Amino acid sequence: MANSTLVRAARSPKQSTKDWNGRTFNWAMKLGAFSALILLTAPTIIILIASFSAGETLRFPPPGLSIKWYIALRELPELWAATWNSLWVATFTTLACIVLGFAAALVLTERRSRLTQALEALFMSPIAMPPLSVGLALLVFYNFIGWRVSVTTLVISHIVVGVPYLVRTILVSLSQMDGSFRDASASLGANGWYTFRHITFPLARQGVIAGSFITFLTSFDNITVSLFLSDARTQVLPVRMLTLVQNNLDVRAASIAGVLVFATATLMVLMERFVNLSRFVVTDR
Amino acid sequence: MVNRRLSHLSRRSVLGAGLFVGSSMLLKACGQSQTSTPAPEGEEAAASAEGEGGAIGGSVSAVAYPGIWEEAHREVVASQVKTNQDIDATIVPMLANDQVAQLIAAPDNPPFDVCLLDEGPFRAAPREDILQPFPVDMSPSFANLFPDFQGGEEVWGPTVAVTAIGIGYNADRYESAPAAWEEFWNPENAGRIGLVTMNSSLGTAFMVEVAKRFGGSEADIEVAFERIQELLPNVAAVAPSPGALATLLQQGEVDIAPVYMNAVLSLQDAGLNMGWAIPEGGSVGIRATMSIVKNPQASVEAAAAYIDTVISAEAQNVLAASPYFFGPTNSEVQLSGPFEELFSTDPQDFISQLIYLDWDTINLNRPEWIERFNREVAV
Amino acid sequence: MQAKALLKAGRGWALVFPLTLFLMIFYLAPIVLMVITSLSQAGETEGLSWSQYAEFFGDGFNLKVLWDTVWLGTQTTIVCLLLGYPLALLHSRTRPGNWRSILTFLIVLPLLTSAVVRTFAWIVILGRQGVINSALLSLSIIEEPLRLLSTHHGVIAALSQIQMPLMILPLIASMARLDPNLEAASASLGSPAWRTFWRITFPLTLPGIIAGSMLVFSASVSSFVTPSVIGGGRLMFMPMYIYQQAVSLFNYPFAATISTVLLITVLAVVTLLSSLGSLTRSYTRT
Repeated sequence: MANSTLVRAARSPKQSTKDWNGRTFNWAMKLGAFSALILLTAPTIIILIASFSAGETLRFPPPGLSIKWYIALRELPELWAATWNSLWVATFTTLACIVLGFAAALVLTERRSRLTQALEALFMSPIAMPPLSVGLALLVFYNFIGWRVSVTTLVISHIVVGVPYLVRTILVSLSQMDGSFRDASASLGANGWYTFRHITFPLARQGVIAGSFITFLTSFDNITVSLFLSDARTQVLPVRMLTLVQNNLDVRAASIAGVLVFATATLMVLMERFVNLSRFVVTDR
Repeated sequence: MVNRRLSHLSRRSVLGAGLFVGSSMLLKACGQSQTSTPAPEGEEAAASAEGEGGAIGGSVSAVAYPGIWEEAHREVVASQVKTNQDIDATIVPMLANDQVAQLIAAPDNPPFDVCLLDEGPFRAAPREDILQPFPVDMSPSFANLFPDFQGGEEVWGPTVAVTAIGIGYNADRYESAPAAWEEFWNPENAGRIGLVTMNSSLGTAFMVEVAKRFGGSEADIEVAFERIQELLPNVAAVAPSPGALATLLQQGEVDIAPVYMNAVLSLQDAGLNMGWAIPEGGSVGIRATMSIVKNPQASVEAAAAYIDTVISAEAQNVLAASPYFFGPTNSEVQLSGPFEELFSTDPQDFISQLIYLDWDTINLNRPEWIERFNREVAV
Repeated sequence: MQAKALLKAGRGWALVFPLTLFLMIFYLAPIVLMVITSLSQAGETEGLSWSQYAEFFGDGFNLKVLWDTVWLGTQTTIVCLLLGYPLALLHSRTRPGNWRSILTFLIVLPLLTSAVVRTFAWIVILGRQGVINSALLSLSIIEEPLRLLSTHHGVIAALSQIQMPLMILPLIASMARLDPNLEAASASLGSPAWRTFWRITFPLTLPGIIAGSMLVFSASVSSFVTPSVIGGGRLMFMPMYIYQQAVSLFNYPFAATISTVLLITVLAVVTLLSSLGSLTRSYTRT
């Protein structure tokens, strides 16, 4: 990585590396890239180190290392309850998004018309909306129709902001499927269900898994919508953590962060292994 | 990418508006049938409960202010109420004004069963609409409270703690304790001062005390606003809540701030070199009250048992000691440690040494003051 | 036969119906309702009016909050672009393999870790006893710790880190479509590196730049956790203002007004950038 050259030109025989122009370019780009890398990764590393502090308060560098703050997490029952709530909400949200998103994505891949384009824009638009505005709009809406804020309303709201990710990843994976594929299958006498099971679904599967992963994390981590729509009786983890970080800034907050970072990183590596996650993240369909 | 067709979208959303209104009405109709079933189980449960021995059981969701309150109530009160009455208590961290707002918003379905309010919000709140009278006969510890803390004739709930407001400072940075609020204006404090918004009793009491020192009163804190303007260039941070302000002091973000005594003492306990001083003219005492809300989800018994635990000598003896240091309201509590150094070992003495503000007068102007403060401190 | 085909077509469409209906009820209707609420009059008077908006735009404080928010979004976008572009370039010039996977992992991980965690890390970094101050103090570069928390710059630094993946990922995607022969050709014709960059690489990756800027900008101006935790009580941005009005003051109509203003601001910038985007797309295709 470190020795890769950013300027293709520098490899050509005509341009020597002594070339001032090429050098400054290389240096500028390398400097930028490495600053960006440090900026991106340092906070995660720092929080991980801080979470293993042996001291009583959050300082960096820590006075010594220990896992006592991870053990101290056991004494926060509300935190576990909140984690549990968040897991449930994220699970239901993801399941609902899979059903709704998969069905819709099937139609969007099969037909290209002005209407499907408009629908796709509709399905994707929650990503671009300020989530706090969506949260407030939903709160006003639930008040208007007389619904109480509850886990159900929370899941509904998370589906709204989570479904674009699934629709998108499924569309990406289905875009590899040529219509002719299915036509061939149909002309060979396969019925719709057979085609779906043996052609469409296997192709979409990776998209479903990658999308579910992203939707799940989006819901699990959502705070802006949850702030408005979570009931105080069923608090979710991010809201709980925000209170903890703002009011009892102690090392436990870092150890929760550590647990979350480890969990996310592990899941990410698994996802990369099985469904090539980055293919879905790095794409601009 | 995705968004390039958003312009089409808006047109379509206008076209579909009729459909939305129709569907909303339909949902509203469904919603109303859903909300029309608030069960008045409270009184029934209360009636059947009397005189039965043994644990009460059930669960209760009770508010505590974020920060040290939350921690103390979880570790002390929740565990005692579990051992003694087999009640599972959940602590909801929330500030007083937010509690009142939520109770007013959903009186049929309050998000918690027991609320915790400082004098200011408590006296400003529409108590008849959101609280229910405290069932004194369900609370054996109630009689041991100092008479002043039994809630007067209406008895919406007992006072559960008295916390003292003073000057918290980083002892590494100050050779001697600051002696008066006026010292905030000393040039040496540039960039070190922490404040808290007037949304909290702490912030409001600070402003009122400053006003008093410069000739104002509970009714008129104009002079405090003027003086704060001078102070602003030296203010390092304005915290959204007292808990957050204590955090800033702990992290060394601010070195001097108006804070509650127990917040600083618990930081000392964690090994930090912090000091807390009674300002000239006295330390303001804030009395916090706990009440059972209207239409609680928990049984009134369980809620009352929770409050009874908070005011019991058993809990308050722990809450008044290291590392929590809450001022007690139960007459059987003995004080020690920092209380002895700063005030007295006798709770009655401690309570009478504090000064109390006229919150009814303050409440007349408080909403405007909160708004004005938020605007004036904005950079 | 024809009836059957029609039926089949209809069935195909039916699958898109649940999500469409769901979003109409729980997404478009609430937003329409919020806009209507923002047009309601103060007090109990019936009827729609612009009075809330007049109140919003008639007050210098509100305008400043709006301006600060837009400015914050712009600054964050610029920082993300300046640092993200070289990293995206490095990623696209790294041959597929372990290094590239590691790079992808490092870029995507922050995106997927909790926003509270990422913000929390910045408290540890920017604090008076934090990483930056300890480092500078021990190197004797400064004598007194600098105040970095509760400042506008602190918020920008934290937000840039948090939103940078949103910039890098579209950039990587647009670089992947770049024909390497173009650059090689330019270089072999003797074009210096910077020139090749400005003439070839940069214009051809404009769609990625625009897509990334769009995402970073809208995420920054609507972010709540980072500005409120890092910025503290003295810096006010639109999302915190909405929250304060709605949750603490229970002023739904005014919260709806602020929220609609924010929504329109974001949509305006997104529309502007995306029309720029389609312009550059047609340019890069020719």
